[in-house]
Amino acid sequence: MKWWKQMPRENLVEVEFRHEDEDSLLADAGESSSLVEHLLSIQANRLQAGQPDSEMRSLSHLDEENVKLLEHQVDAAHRALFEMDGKALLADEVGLGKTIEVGMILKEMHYRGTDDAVLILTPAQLAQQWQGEMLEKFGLDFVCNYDDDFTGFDAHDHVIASIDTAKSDRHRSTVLARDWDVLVLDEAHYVKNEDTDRYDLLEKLSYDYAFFLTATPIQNDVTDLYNIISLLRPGLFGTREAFHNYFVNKSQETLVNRNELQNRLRKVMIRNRRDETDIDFTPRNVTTRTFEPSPAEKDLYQAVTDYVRTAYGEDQGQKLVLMTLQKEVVSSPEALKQTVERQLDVEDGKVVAHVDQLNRILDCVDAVETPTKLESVQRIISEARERVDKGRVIVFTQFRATQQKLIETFAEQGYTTHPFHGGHSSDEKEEIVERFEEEGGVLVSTDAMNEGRNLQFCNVMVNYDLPWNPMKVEQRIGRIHRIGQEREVYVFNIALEDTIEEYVLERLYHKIDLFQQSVGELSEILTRLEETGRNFEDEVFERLISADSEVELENDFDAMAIDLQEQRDLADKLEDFNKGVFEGFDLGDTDD
Amino acid sequence: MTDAALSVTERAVERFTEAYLQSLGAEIEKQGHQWIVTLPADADTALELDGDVLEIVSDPDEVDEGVIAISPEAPFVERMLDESAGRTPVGSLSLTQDQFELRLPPWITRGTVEVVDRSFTPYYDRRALCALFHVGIETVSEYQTEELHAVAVDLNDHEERPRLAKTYLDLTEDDQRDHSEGPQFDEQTLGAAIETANEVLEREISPMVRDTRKRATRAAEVELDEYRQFAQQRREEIDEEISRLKDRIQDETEAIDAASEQAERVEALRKRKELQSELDERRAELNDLTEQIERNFPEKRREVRERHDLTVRMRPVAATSISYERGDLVLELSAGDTTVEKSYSYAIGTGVMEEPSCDRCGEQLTGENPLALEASRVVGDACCGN
Repeated sequence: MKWWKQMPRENLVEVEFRHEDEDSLLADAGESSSLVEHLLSIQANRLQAGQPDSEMRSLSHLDEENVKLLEHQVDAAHRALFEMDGKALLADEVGLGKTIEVGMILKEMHYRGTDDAVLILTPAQLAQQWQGEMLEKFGLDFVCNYDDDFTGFDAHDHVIASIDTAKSDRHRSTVLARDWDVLVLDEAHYVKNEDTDRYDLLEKLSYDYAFFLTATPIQNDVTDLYNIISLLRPGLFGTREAFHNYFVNKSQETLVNRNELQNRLRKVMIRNRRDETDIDFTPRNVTTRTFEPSPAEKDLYQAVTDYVRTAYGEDQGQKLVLMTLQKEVVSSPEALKQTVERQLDVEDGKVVAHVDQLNRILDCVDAVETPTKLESVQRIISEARERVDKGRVIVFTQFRATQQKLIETFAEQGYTTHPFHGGHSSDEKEEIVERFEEEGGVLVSTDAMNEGRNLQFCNVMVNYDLPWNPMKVEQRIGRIHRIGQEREVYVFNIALEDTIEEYVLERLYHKIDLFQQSVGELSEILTRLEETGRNFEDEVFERLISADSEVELENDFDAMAIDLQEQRDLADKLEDFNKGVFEGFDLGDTDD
Repeated sequence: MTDAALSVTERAVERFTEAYLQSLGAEIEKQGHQWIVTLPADADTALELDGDVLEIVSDPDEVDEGVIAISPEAPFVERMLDESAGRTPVGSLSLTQDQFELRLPPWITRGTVEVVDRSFTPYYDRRALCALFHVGIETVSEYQTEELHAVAVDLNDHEERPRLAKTYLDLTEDDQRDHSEGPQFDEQTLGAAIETANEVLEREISPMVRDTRKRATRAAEVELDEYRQFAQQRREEIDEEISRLKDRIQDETEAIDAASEQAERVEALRKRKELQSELDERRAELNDLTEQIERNFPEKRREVRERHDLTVRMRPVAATSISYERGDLVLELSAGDTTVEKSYSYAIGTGVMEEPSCDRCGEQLTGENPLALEASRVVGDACCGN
């Protein structure tokens, strides 16, 4: 140790208290004064000592370990609070952190003491996610309607609840009976329809400040905006009819009076786009592994396809079941078996059609010893165990029976496993995700893994089977490929050759660059497509069963791909339309 | 002690502007966000408004030429605040029960006992000083801190009244309420009250001062440590220089002895003299440094201490004589079948003045140990409740 380190510490800083300027105050004593002027003097002194109140004063109280704030988020929170008087539609694109923006807003309001009563309404499955994020990232303690100690909307001042719980007969009156300081509405597009109970609840709620969140403010046409914004700022757009007449032409394909619409929207809406933010998504590495099915699997696939064609040709009312069978056959024999057995196991007195074909399917199921996909997925998770932190891999499947089989197989081989499906309660789901983070291993999930759940701590994902709806694929990927993911993301698709899955993968998904679309971009396009009546899954199914030969099937899918290309062009037009509507709502100054 | 600063919101600025201009007798014609304002010719103000247009805006740069911006940090607003702040710093307020709802303490409200009835009987008026103090802390190591604090001191017992200070701030936040004046201060009373308030303020800001001093001490220690390190390093350098000089002197001595010519010898002698003089200087420097080290750098310490000294400036900027009613608050309390009547000393603007204890164990009643009833006895719910 250096000699100077051993020297005793001394008092290096002395404090001097100085009482100043009392005389001028004393000189005023005894003089008659006006109370009004005296009160104004006090206020003036207090205002002089205060800070301009347009700063996010609470930000310095946040722990950067818990939350990383991005520039566009701070800006959005600031604008919502100070430029929009605390009533704003936060309409950032998916994945830009709207929840963080609201967290900042609520933290600031808490800091300023304007949050005596706060209600956050979310889709049911997101309520606890919100609760966790508010507490962990912002230190804001909310009671959730799923908590054991939740005793009603009149019993707590900071509540996060499913919107459907809030509108239920049991709670509706208490929700409406009080005056809320702040209302937050997540996924606000779910209340765009003015004829629903949800809309009715929102319209009757009493609140001072409101923050609505949606990535897709325009779901169908620009009148969607009218409904949402009328809840936030009644009167901003006048009557529905006036709005429609003034801003939308009859065909609804073009906007009129666009500048005026923009000017009005600018008062209430904030929309950040991904390509205009400084968000850096890590690379996404997608590998599709296609395997030749075993002879037994080929037989099984053929048996199912034959049955589905025959049965659908006779009774189209069974479409849903038949589609399920066609999906299950490429997922797992176990999934298929359950559905086929249910088909056979009908009520007394009913004649089961095509019993022979169904029994043949069951025979084929029994003939499959080890599914080809099962071997393949094991190789992937084994590799992950060696290369990835805690060997964390998420395997997605559409079917519970497949999930069960995967869990059993992985567990037998000594992997730590975590099943996640829609049958779990919200609490259980929360616990499962926490355990997965802590213990690592394999999380086998159905598509019940919802939009808001964050799994950035994992960067390897396997699509054991592929939903026909590309949006569902994107939602799966979005669970791990989002802000906060610091590593390259690996997505493995497993498919069997010459099956519907291969067609969907190769000819359709790749046509729209599904796997390279950044998070969120696709959802708007496809939502739009579905809203206009095109059902992706139906089209896949129809083409599959109507083809008479393999060549015809290939041609059909090629035709669908071309069709899809056209639809994509239409989607681009929609994007232009949105762009037109939202131009000028970007970060930074307006273009007035 | 209470932080008295008000948030400078657009709304607060707008409200203040209107109230202040009205107090000057201004005529204000409102047209949306724009006001056309004219002040009487004899108004006691340096502001000159004669049909001028004031506009409520978020950004002072937003207004058209010739229009006066009203917004936080707008120059006109700052001038107005400066003028108003010093205009009437001393005044009086009277608090009576008509203005205030009876306020119950947490040791009642957080318990399960129901307050069936309450009544306040005033017995006499008391006076207090409520004052705003600017507190500035200056240090060399960090930015100057400026704060505004409210202090309330009872004029009878010279005790601090923190809850009254809070009430004072609530009352003076805006001008929405009807207030009435009370007895004014005379100079002597105010002087004595300010003196007491100074002591209270010093005591109350001491944690903040302590923290600042701790940080300043750390900065001073770092500075001194750096100097010590420098001194040690310098001492090692001088040691090396001395050794090097000695070697060179030895070399020159040998050169003198070995010189065959006079000129060569003289040059070596001259060189040795120079080196010897340099050596003496280094030795003197070393002695000086060693002494400093041994005495622990008294000069440097003095210098560091002076630089880091903390000055806490306290300046009263407003003083209000508050007269308030004191008396008894009689509460009828009920729990289950039990109903009792209790009386507590109470002050308007402050609330219940006493902190009662549990009748059974003597533990003080608090928000965490609220009042409960056991027959006619008052007990703490946490310490002796069921």
